[in-house]
Amino acid sequence: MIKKIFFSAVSKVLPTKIAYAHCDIPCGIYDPHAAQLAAHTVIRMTQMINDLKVKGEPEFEERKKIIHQIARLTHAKEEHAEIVKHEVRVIWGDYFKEEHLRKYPDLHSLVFKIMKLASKAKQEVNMEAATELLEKVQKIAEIFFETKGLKPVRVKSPYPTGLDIILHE
Amino acid sequence: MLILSRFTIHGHSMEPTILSGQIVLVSNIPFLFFRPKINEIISFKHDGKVFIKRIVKVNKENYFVKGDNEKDSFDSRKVGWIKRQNIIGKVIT
Repeated sequence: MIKKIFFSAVSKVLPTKIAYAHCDIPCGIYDPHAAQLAAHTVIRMTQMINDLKVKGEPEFEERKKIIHQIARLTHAKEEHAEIVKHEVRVIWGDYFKEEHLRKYPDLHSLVFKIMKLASKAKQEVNMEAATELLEKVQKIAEIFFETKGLKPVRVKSPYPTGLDIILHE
Repeated sequence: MLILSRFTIHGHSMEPTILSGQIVLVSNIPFLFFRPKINEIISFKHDGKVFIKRIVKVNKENYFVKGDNEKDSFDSRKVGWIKRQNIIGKVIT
């Protein structure tokens, strides 16, 4: 009781300063979902580029439409491959700690592969690279959830890629 | 010389013991008489900022500190041991 009164009185008199119980900004809000979503988008953009069909020698207007569509799809593919790289870099650099590396010694090489695959998926219309990129990102998601003490579960995504997404129980 | 200071906590690394936004008092008086000990919550300076963490290991004049919210704490596991001279005081509330 005395302690409480003392604390209350002192708190009113003393100016307040900031002390950090630092959890590394932004305070532990990390999630591999955005990386997975972006990796699915890279696959979908690759599918859509591959699905574009041309019959014979198209007229100028038709060619213009196709070029325009390829430009849009390529732009989205570039953008989302870059999102994969960014999201994975943040989880790798800001969230994972030494103890995680001890438990998952392949973590650095996994991230390295993701960087390379994301670049390959940008440079080429390459379904194999895009699919492998998603697989590696899923592996990061599994490791991430395990380090949080959560059991990762693989479920079929509702996306037109028809591929899986890693969630947790 | 700091006798008693009032700090508002920013961050979640000491949860559930100390919550983000909570106000704590810090005093250097206990450390004038006794050395900081394992399990005590201290405030210290690092990179020009003031932090609070719990002491988990002591090696002579160096202190290894961790947040109670171990899974999400920026502490000695990243910044290394804290020197005695950088310890400001003991969190007394």
